[in-house]
Amino acid sequence: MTDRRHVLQMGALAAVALAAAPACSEDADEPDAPPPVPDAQQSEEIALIAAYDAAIATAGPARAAEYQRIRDEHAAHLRALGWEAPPATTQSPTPPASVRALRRAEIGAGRSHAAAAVRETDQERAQLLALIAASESQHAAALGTL
Amino acid sequence: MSETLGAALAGEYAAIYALGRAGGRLRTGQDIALAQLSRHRTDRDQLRAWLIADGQQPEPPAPAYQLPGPVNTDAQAKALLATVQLRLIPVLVALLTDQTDEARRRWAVRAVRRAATSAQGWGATGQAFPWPEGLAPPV
Repeated sequence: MTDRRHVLQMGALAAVALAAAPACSEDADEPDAPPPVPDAQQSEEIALIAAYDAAIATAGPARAAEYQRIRDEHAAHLRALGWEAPPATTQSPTPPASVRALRRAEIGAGRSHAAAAVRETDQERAQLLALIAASESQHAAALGTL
Repeated sequence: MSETLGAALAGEYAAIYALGRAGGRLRTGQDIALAQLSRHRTDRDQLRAWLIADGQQPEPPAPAYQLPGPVNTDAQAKALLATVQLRLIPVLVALLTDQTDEARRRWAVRAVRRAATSAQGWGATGQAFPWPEGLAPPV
């Protein structure tokens, strides 16, 4: 009898648990939602920001100030490209890059954004990509004088 | 379509005029100014060729240009050249967004990038979205 009551109680608990399960799963959906995935243009900006963050940490004051200015412009690019999340939180630590490596990265990003501007069929986005490519050309030139 | 080509051509005329006016006042960077003059003449000819290909008659340069300030010193000459390069950017961006031909779009993007670096080379401050001073970029 005790065993039978126990089985019934367990059955009732299981029913409650099963009934509650969808609710728990719904609650868990929001925190477990997959993080947004950056597109190619956003990814390039995120990588550049991480590279400057690493370079700023080891640079002297004058160079760090210039790196910070350029880093902030990349952050503005990233926001304009529609990426609102903090850029570096999921990045693995980036080793500090030399000024030559940063310049190469700017040249590569500028070319990539310029090519994307040519291909882009949304003209507002094409305009934005062209201006980002122009800014990255300025960065490469500025780094060439350091 | 030809309006943006015509506006870009007018911008190239203005850049050529400014380089001619400023060139004699530069104490450094004359070689850069000469190279830019040659480049802008090539760009002018390209734009004229596209206008003609589209069945349009290219406008001639304006008989005179109002300068934003005096051009008597090296600093004033460089400021003029920086301003003119930045003012080219909106017309080049308009050309990009107006054109569908890939070669013309590629040309426009390259010209925007070159204007931004030239402006910075003449002393303009770097910008996240290079654009003339006092105007809000369309971003």
